[in-house]
Amino acid sequence: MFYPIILAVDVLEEQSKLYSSFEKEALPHMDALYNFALRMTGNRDEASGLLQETYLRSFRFYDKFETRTNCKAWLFRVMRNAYINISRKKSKEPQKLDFDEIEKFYKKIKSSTDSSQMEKEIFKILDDELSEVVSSLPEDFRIVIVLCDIENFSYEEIADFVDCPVGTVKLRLFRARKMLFTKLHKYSDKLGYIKKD
Amino acid sequence: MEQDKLEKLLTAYVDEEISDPSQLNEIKNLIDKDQNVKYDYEVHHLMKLVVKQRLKIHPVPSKVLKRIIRKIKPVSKTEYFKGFIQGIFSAKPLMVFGTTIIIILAMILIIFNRPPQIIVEDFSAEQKGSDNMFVQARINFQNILKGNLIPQIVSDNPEEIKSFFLKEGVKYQIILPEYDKWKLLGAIVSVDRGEKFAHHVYTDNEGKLIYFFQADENYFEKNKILNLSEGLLEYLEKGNCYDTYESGIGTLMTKTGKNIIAVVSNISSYELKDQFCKIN
Repeated sequence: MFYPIILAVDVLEEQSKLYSSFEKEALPHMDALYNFALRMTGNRDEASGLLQETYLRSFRFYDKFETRTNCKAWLFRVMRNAYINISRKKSKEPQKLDFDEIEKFYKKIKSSTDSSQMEKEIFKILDDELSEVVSSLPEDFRIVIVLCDIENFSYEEIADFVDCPVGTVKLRLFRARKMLFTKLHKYSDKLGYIKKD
Repeated sequence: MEQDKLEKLLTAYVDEEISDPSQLNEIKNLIDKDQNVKYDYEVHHLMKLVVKQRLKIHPVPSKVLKRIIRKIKPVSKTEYFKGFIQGIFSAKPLMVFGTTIIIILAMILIIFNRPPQIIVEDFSAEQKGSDNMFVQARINFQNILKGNLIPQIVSDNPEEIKSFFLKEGVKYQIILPEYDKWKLLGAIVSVDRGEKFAHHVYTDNEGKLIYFFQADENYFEKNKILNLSEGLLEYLEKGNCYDTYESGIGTLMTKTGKNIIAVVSNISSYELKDQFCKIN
């Protein structure tokens, strides 16, 4: 009768030690993970669910996580796996992308707008509108932009996260920014932020 | 420069990821000299800046934060035991109900199935009067020991003794058990208000005596000549055997069939009880 209770107390003590370490290492990254989840799912409820799943999984396997390695990157990988599982269940079709069209449009802007003017126009866009445009980027491009520009991940960390070479990460970032620029330009034009001669 | 290489280098420059000084100089020169590259750099730099500075960061809703912590934070020892106790009594009402029913049933079974409580009362104090069988048996045994009461028939043959009782007018069935250790010594028939009562005696090699006085239960009820206290009669009626031991003499009362039997002896109390409680 008392033996299981003693065992339970031992387990509780171990869990308590593990949680103290987890609280110190993992919980400070919760905002970053939540925002990443928001960018990935585009929905607060789904982002909350993904965040919860990530933390439950990571705590379950926290004893196997080697301390002093990059906890933030590890948590993002856990979230990526959880997100892949959710995405598989939803069986979303990948977004089709016509990069030639983007390239053409980029060149057109390039020939007609100087950079200082372009900066003023783009900064007229509201924060929420910017979020909307970033969310509209295809997933592969959205991921590298968020990880690099918001989460300050190094190229190595991004490459590890997306499971591809660093060179691919660089090219993907280049294209992602170009795509974002054309989208923002179109958006500003649509809202009348761009002066026409 | 190849387009791919230029794109990679430009991106790495925007993100400050170039550690090789020659590559750094190469891209800087390109930006300075080539307007197209300069434009690309400004666009990419602007995009990085816009995302970094303007993209809204949402804090985790407190409700979500609390829910996650509640799910992963281990309970303290106090909470664990509190929850354990509460869990027993409130968390699963169906289980609690079932458990309560089982406990009640178990208690009922224990109460009703416990072995009958043997209350050995001291009936000897209740046995009074000259017509009391218990009293008479003890007096008779004392008289036998003293030689004041002598067997009317001396025989170790049960059939002969039975014939004697029948011949002398004993109206009830006599029980004459046979033992290896004890042999019949003889028998006496007493008369009380016209009714005949059977007495017989056994003996062993050591000279110990076992005296039997038996009478039909009718003599205690309808044709009341003999007497025993109500408590002792009731006790015997339930199949119990009463024995008492005093000054080296043991007296045992039992009932076999319709006969109420008094056994008085100077053998050990253990032997008396062990051998004569059940008489066949």
